[in-house]
Amino acid sequence: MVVVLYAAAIVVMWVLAWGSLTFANVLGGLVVAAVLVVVTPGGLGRGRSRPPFRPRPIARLAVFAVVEMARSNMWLVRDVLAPRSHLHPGVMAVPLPLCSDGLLTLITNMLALTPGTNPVHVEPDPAVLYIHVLHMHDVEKSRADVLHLADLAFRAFNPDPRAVQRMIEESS
Amino acid sequence: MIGQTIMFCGALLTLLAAVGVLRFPDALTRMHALTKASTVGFGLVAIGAAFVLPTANDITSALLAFALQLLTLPVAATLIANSTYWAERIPAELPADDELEAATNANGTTAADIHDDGERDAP
Amino acid sequence: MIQATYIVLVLAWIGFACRLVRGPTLADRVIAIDGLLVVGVSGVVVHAADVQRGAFLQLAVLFTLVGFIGTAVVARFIEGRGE
Repeated sequence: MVVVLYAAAIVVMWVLAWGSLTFANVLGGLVVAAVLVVVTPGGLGRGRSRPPFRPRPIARLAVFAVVEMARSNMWLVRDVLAPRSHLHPGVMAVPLPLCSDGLLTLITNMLALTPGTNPVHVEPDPAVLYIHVLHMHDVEKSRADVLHLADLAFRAFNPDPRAVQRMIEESS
Repeated sequence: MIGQTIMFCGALLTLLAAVGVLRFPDALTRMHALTKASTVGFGLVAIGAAFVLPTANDITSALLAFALQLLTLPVAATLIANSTYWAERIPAELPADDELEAATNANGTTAADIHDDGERDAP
Repeated sequence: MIQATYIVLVLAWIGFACRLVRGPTLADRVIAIDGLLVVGVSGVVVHAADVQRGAFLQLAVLFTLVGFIGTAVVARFIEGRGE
């Protein structure tokens, strides 16, 4: 299933890049997709459990991502125009429960677009994210924001959707 | 008219990114300004152009460019932040505690060890 | 309005170019180049919308991909060089 989605995405992008929907373009896209599927290191979900597909949590995650991208620019206006002493940069660590590499990659990439956070280093096992924040005096709020994002992502894609929520409840 | 206004807003956001890159104190913080403002700025330019461009072919090309930017800018930001952190040991300038440094020092590893790990993993 | 968009993009380009010249470390310069690329790609799209001809839009896709590869390679280089 993952292989089919991956190949379909490649064919769509190939056709978009060439511009017109002709038989030759689609065939070329299928050839490129086949080559990439064979060549991708580590395999694509072969032998691993299939990631679940839950439309409503995925939609909620997508809406949250768009809203956060808009908010990040509003915060950026304030941070750019304010005097320099306003910023207290620092690196914070956020541990996450066990999750697949793909989900960790998705969360890290989304963190690059959310307000105030920028990932610096990722430890895969155990999963810990090290994130550079602009307002280190307010670390706990930033950590809570990151955990909220991770919660939404886990509910959308992880086999165990409530893992982050349990982790938050255990620590509070 | 709508398309042109949206494109103008996108260009303003890119200008905000440039001002941020000029004003922020150090490399890691400048990365913040670049990724967040540039991605959304170019997105607005692409969406505004979608209102103005003549054929569907052009619209899909512009949106494809936006999709690729959205996929690649965060990855590039993380790569540069990672390299810059290990290469120049930013902690000297940070006033607050640095949890990554604390974690690496607690493990007994140094920056040089993590450095070698990265090179061993390289294909 | 499109003229104003061009002017704003040129100002952004000048801003990134200043950082490219001044930036004390290599990381600052690679950030500035990434910014220049985004401004360039935006300029291509705005121009295509201005003259109503989409022949250059494939350039936008190409710049994005090549810029990303260049940035990734320089990031590896920074890590190896220790600067």
